[in-house]
Formats: sequence, C-alpha cells, structure tokens
Amino acid sequence: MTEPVLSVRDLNVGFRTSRGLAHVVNGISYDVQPGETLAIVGESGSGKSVGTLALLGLLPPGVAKVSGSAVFAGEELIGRSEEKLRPIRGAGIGMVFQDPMTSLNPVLTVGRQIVEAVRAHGPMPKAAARARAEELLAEVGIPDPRSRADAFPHQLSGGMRQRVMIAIALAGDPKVLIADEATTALDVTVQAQIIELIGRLQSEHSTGVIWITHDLGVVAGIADHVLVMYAGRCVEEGSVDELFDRPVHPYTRGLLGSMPLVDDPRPARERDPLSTMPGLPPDPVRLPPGCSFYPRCTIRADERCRTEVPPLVPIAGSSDRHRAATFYAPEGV
Amino acid sequence: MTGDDATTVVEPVGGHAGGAGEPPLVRATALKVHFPIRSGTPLRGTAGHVRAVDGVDLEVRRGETLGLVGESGCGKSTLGSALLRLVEPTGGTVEFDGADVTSMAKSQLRALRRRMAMIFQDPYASLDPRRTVGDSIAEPLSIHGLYRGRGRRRGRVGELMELVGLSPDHANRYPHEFSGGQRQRVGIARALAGEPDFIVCDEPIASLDVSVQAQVVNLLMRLQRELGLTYLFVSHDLAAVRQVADRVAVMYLGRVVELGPAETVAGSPQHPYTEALVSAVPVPDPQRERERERIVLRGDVPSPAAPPSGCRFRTRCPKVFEPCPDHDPVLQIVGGTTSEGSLAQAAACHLHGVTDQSP
Amino acid sequence: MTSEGSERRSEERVEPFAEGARRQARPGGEGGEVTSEGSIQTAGDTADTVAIMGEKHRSRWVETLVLLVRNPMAVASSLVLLVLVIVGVFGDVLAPYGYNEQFVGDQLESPSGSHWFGTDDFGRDVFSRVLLGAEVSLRVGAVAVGISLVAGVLIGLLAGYYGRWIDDALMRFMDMLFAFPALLMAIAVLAILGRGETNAMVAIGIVYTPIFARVTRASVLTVREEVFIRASRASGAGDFRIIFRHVLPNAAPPIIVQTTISLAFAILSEAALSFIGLGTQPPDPSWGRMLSEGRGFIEQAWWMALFPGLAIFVTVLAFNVLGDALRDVLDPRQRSALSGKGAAR
Repeated sequence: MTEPVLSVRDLNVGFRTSRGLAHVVNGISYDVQPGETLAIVGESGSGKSVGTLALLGLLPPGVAKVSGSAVFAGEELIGRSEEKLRPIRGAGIGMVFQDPMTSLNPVLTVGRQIVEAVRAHGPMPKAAARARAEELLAEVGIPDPRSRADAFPHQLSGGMRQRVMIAIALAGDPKVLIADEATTALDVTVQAQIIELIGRLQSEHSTGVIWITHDLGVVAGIADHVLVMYAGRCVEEGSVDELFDRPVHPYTRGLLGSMPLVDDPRPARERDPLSTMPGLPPDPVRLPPGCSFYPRCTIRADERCRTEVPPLVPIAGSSDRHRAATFYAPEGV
Repeated sequence: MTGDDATTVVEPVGGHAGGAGEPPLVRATALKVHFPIRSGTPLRGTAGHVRAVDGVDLEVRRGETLGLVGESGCGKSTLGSALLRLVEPTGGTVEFDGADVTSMAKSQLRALRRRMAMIFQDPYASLDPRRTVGDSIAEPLSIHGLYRGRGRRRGRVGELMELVGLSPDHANRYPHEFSGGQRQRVGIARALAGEPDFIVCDEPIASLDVSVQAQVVNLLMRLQRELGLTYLFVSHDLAAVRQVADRVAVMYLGRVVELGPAETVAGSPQHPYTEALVSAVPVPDPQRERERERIVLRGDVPSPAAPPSGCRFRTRCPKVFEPCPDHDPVLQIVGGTTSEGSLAQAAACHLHGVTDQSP
Repeated sequence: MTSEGSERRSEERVEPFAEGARRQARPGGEGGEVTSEGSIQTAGDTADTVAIMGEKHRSRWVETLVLLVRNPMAVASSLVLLVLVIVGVFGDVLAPYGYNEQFVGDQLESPSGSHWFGTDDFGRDVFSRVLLGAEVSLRVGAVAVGISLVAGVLIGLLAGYYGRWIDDALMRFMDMLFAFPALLMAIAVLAILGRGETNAMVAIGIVYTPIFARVTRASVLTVREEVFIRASRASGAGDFRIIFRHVLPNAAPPIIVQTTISLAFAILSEAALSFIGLGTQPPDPSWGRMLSEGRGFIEQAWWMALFPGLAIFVTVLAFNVLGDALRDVLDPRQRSALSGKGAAR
C-alpha cells in the first residue's frame, strides 16, 4: 500500500454550549490514499462535516475544541496556527461545499473568483491568472470558458456553479479534495455529471477524495473505502463491497434497509414497508455511556452494549480493513 | 397547444385503484400555469412568461398514489399547487370529484379545501413558529367549523396526533421543540384534520434524514391504507416514488413526458429522459453500480421561459433525430395494451411514432 | 419564478455551527429524553408515542408574564414606566409647587433644597414642571404613536400582503408623506387643523405613519412568502385569518422595536412643535417645550435643559428596554431559550 496523503488519528471535536461540551466527533481515524475515494456517511448531526472542517481549522476557535492528530504530507494540522494553515487550505486540501449558490460571492464574476483563488496560492501576473482561470473552467467542463468567466453566479445553473466551485478548489492543485455533500443540492442527472467530473479529475491528478454524504447510493457508485458515522463515532468501516455486501453494525444495516430501491420490480403495493429505526440520534452533550446507538438498537445483543463503548474491531471473515464497533456479530456473515 | 388527444390515449390503467368505470377524483385538462416575468422598469409590464406548467393532462384515480417526478424547474410542484388552485392556472381546467375547481367562486373553493390537503416539503418552514402544534393542527377544524367546542376540538387534535405517531400531550408545544421528522408528522396531522379525500404531498421527505424518510414514507402508506386516501406524491427522488406510487408521471419542462405504472416506468422507461433519470438514480449496491450503464445527460435544462421548439427534451436527448425540432410530441400509448384491466404506459416521444400536438 | 426554487434538499447545510449550535434550542433539565436537535424524543413508525415530560403547561399569557418577571431589565423598565404613569396621573398632587407659580427674584436659581431641580428664567420650579410635564409628554407620545402605529401597520399589512396595485397606491402615498421633512409636514397639518395639543398629537401621528407602514410592509413581505402561510391557505383559511393570525404575529418584532424608537421621536417632535408655538401652549409644561426653552440658557442654567432631557432619556430608555424584552418573550423560540436558562440557574 502506498503512503497515505492524509492520515487522521483519534480526532475529537467538542463544541462548548451553554449546557456543557457537545461531543460532536469522538475518536475518528482514517487514511486517505492518493487517487482513492474515502466516503464518510452519516445523517445530519453525525459529525461527518465537522470532522473535516476541523482539519482545516475552519471551526470557530472559541467554540470548538479539537484534539487528536491529522498528518497531511508529513505535517501535523491539528493545533497549527491560522497563518500556517492557510497555505494548506486550497493548495493542499481543497473543499467543495453543498450549496454552490451561497458558497460563491454573488457580486463578483466567477472568473474573478477563480483568479483570486489562483493568486492566493502564489503570486502570478493578472493575465496569467486569468488564463489559468479559463483553463480551469475548461477542465471542469464548462463550455465557452472565456465568456463564462465573465458571468455572475446567478447567471449559471446549479450544476455550472458547482463546476465553478470545483474549479476554485482545483486552483491550488490540491492533493486531497473534500466534497462535502457536493451533489446533495443538485438534481440526479446533474449529480451524475458532477460525480463523473470529479472521478475524471481524480484519476488525472491522482487526488485523494473525501466524499461526505448521507446518500448510500452515491457511496456505492464512487467510494473505495467507506466510513459510517453515528453520533460522532465511526460505527463501521470497510471497502465499499464489504460494507454493502456484509454490513455488520445494526445502524449500517438499518440505514441500508431504510433506502427504497429504484429497480425493485415489484409494484408499490406488493413491497414490504421500509425498515425503520425508531427514535433519533442521542444528544451530543449527554451521550449514552455505552454504545451510542443503544437507545435505538433493536438487537441489543449484549449487556455491555449499555455500559461499554464497543471498540472498532475487525470482522471475522472479512479483510482487516472491515471493522465495526459492535458487540453483536450477526450469524451467517 | 392543447393536448386533448393525449387524454384520450392515457385513459385506462386499472390496478388497485377505483373501478374501471369510476371517474377519476382529480382530472387536469390542458392545464397551464405561466408566471409573468416582471421587467425591471416600472410600467413596462412583463418581460415574458415562465411556462412552469404548459399543457398537462393528468388524472388521479380514487385511492391511488400518483407519483410526479422530475428535476427542479420542471413544474411538478407548481402542478401540484395548481391542482389545489393554490396557484391560479392560466389555462385549462381542473376537476375535483366532477366539480370544476378552476372556475369555482372563492367561497366555494375554500369549503372544498377541506377535502383536498397538502403536505409541504420543509417541515421547518411549513408550521407557524408562533403557534403551538395543536393550534396548527386545529386550524382546519376551526376554518371549516368542525368539532365545535373547546373540549371536542382538543380531543380531535389528540386523535390526529396519535394517528400520526405523536403524543397528544405535546399539543401545547411549539414547532421548534420538535425534530424534522416529528414536524413533518404534525404537517401530516394538519393535512388530515379536515378528513380530506385527496392529499398533494409536495416533496414530503426531501428535507429529512434517510432513516426518518423511511418512517414518514411508511406512515403515509399506512394512512392511505387506513383512511382510503388518494395521493399525488411529488418528488425528485425516483426511488422514493417507486416505493409509494402505483403510477408515475415524469415531468420535463412543464410537460408530462411519460406516464404509466410505477414498476414499468422505472423498469422499462420508454422516454429517453426517463431512461436517463432512472439510470442516474444511484443504487445502494456497489456491484450493480459498476455494472449499470449510466446515461449522463449533457448540458442544462433550458429555461422554461423559452422552451425549445418541437420536443422540449431534444437539446439534451441522446437519441434526437430529424422530426424532433419540428414536431411537438403527444403522449401516446407505448408497450402494454389498453384493453380492460391491463396496464398502459404512455410516452411523448417520436421514437414511438411521430406525432404533433399543434395541427 | 416557479415555486420550485425551494425544493432542494436542505438538510445538512454546511455551516460549521449547524451541528453544534442548533441543539442549544431546548436545554434539558426536565425528565424525558432530549435529543441532538434539542427536540422531544418520540417517533418510530407506528403510533409508538413516548411518555411526556413531567411538566405542566401554563397558559401562554401567564408564561409570558413569568418570563418577563424573570428578566430584571424588563422588571426595572416596567417599574420606571409605572412611576412615570403615576407621576402623569397624580402630578398635580405630587408637585411641590404649581407649574406656573413664579418666584420673583428666584429666577435661574441652581438646584437647592427648596427647588430640587432649580428654577427657570421666570422663577418657576423646574422639578414641579418636570412632574407636571410628564402627563403632556406621555400622552402626546402614546396617542401620537398609537395613531401612527394603527394606521401605519394597517397600511403596511394591506400593501405587503396584497401587493400589486394596492401596494403601489398605498406606498407611493406613504412615500409622498415621507418625502416632506417631518417638521414641515407637521406644520402643514397643523395649519389645516389649527394649533393646540390634540392637533399636535394627530399631526405627529400622521408624520410617523409612513415609517410604520414601511417597517410593517418590509416585514410582511418576508413573512408572506413563508410556507406556513401557504399551508394555512391550503387549509382553506381566508385573508383575514391569515393576516391577523399568521402574518401580523410573525411580522411583529420590528414593529415593536419601531414603536419604542418612535415614542422618543414623538416626544421630541412635540417639543419642536411647541417651540415654534404650534403644540403645547405656554405656560403649560411639556418636557419637549422645557428642553427647547432651556437650550437658550444652557450656559447660565444647565438644569433647565438637563432635567427635562433626563426625563425624556429615562422614558425612552425604559420603553426601549421593555420593547426588546417583549419582543423576546413573544417569540416562542426565544422563549424556550429563556425558560431553559431559568431552569439551569
């Protein structure tokens, strides 16, 4: 295996609230390999976005408490000063966010915004930066980049805006690209375009991609390795095939069961109801003492579930990269 | 640009809902909703129209769930609102249980609102933050003078809350005290308050988390079984529509381009747009994802203010051929047969024979 | 545009605060399970309702009052306003001297034991005049602002809610009123109505109407587009119900703030009108009059302007503080945060 480009170990993020510390991310570890896609899956409040924002120091410093380690290209990110993080943002690690409308400045042309991103990563004459911006627009598949560079964000469609965001993220030629729900706001046909685009760019530049999403369908199509988060913890991880073929953790299984399938041949009235998980995720200020999924779990195989946090351990019969945090081992897996 | 001939073609789909001869609960004929684009300069009037819904014929049968899918801007939400006359149609008619909704007087319409309800997308925005959820659920009761008297009304609110899986003791709480899924349950309880026959569910699960989506979908299906409701389920999520809908209508740029039983529309789509849409929906199975052939559409949806001539999908269609720019296709029966009891599928595409809406 | 702009998925917005901050909404402290979004734990698919928290719900008005009483600033400002009202009503009993009682030879006397706030250029007791002026100033403030509040809010509601030509007609008219300098406008109105205190109140009311109309309209425009308004219409609600049950309560916060600000300006406007002889007629005391009269003697007798000025300042401050507190407790979302804080103490 090659050297990971980003290596995160035991990352913890807490938010100071009026009621005490909210434990939003609790001991997350992962590696990102060059050219590989790591998918982080979870529902809202699972800490999946916060965990990556913390890497780049993008959380409000007075509120967030970050600990652990994140090594990018041999350098530790956690605890770095704002000044020393800035060159890493964009140039080392690029980010694409969910809402391309609010992530772009509405009063500047998209060309100008890309030029700014280009020049932020090193001095460059204006004309050269402009040429580079047009090059980037062409690279992300925007037709007629020369004239589109003079367009304002509202003059572009959602898909186009997301391409512009990707162009901005690519301006610094990053080694890692974080796509944070990058296609959630887009229509499925546009989502397919963006997924295809990121896949192409990834293989051309052998970028490591962290794809943060709630959509297991997207994950199945793009990921190499998957991390499932629940209440700030990783409850299961594994290669995409292992995770979908042999999910172990009750939460992963529940999540997969709650997804309707588009290609189920039965008519609606002959289908089984979707499987559901009762209840809601726990309050991060007062996490349960044991497994954080315990209050919603229908299996509760072991008395320890209530009192002990199950460790993330390899699953018998799978590769050692397939691990789950559960005391319960389903039979026949 | 009437689509009269289209209606006649898309008539028969038996299935579970309604008898063969029974008239549909809701029928839209040549329905149009055009929004004026106000020009920047005052007194200059309008600078054109957004043709959100542009000539749609559609029937919703008693007891069925009709799924309405399409991407943003295709007009599906506007169509849903227009069926309830929450937006004024600019052309065509809507009939509800035989009565013409489009020409009805306002007072009549308001009385009819008891029988047709709506569930909205964003449960955070669709409840008045300054009123308790009990008040919100009771509002249709007081509007229509049902369950008069404080005690009876409170009892009814409690019943409704229980019906959707909420504790009646929470009636005095405010929306912000509930999670997204619970608020959507409140929205559903409010929609049920007037004991409606027909509910337009406008993206009811789009703002919810995956596991909560499943809860709400199951709830809606249970309520339909128990109360004999008729749904129009508007969604961009084809997989969710597949789960709930008996029939599906696919919209593109203000038109219905394909219509038929959900399993055949998703299983063997007959319109190139539906085909692309189905292929773009991710499937939570890596193996199948690798094997599936994905049709990635090029370009963007054209502006609904200036739709392309002829077939509206032709600018992005991978199968475009010579009649497409000149002829506006009619929704016509494809595959399946039309005889009694069998399932019909209809598509508006010249690949199934060149047709034209305009004479 | 079409109504589809909002059909995008809105869960998981990428704000760094989203996951942390939102859940402060409902702090725990009671029994029952409180969840990540700070909400009540229930739900499962079937009607599996969960036991309620052991907490009784008081009526909304009682709860509002309790929360107001818990806020020390609200209590203090209410007390100040109560004292002002008492002074306004019983001013002639409380005042040591008559408002026009002149102490010849004691003109421009600095504050002392016999004249707490000193005397003015006619030798009148400033303290007594401040006490007696409370009535005039408060009445002018309340009535004038009352007029502009009712008129402006109604106009703003109609213009904002119905839009189109109603909006154009009403708001262009308001713009016309607004275009005049406030004082000139008031003078013009008084020229028609004739001078005097009552007419001054009406004139000031008219002058401030456009501001209320503008503030209300702006607020209504945003509330009007809310989905819950559409939801109410979908249930069959008529315009009257929608406007007064849903639009107005949700549009209220900026109006409340504007009311407290306008009270201050109304009191000062009355002063200006009185100064040019169109409002309160001498020798009747009003704070505004006294302030403007004292202006000429600011170097010799600072107390003549200072004490009526202080009175205006305290009144306005009290209204402002109370207005802010009211705005907060009338908002259920703020209310939860407030009552939560109370429970934590």
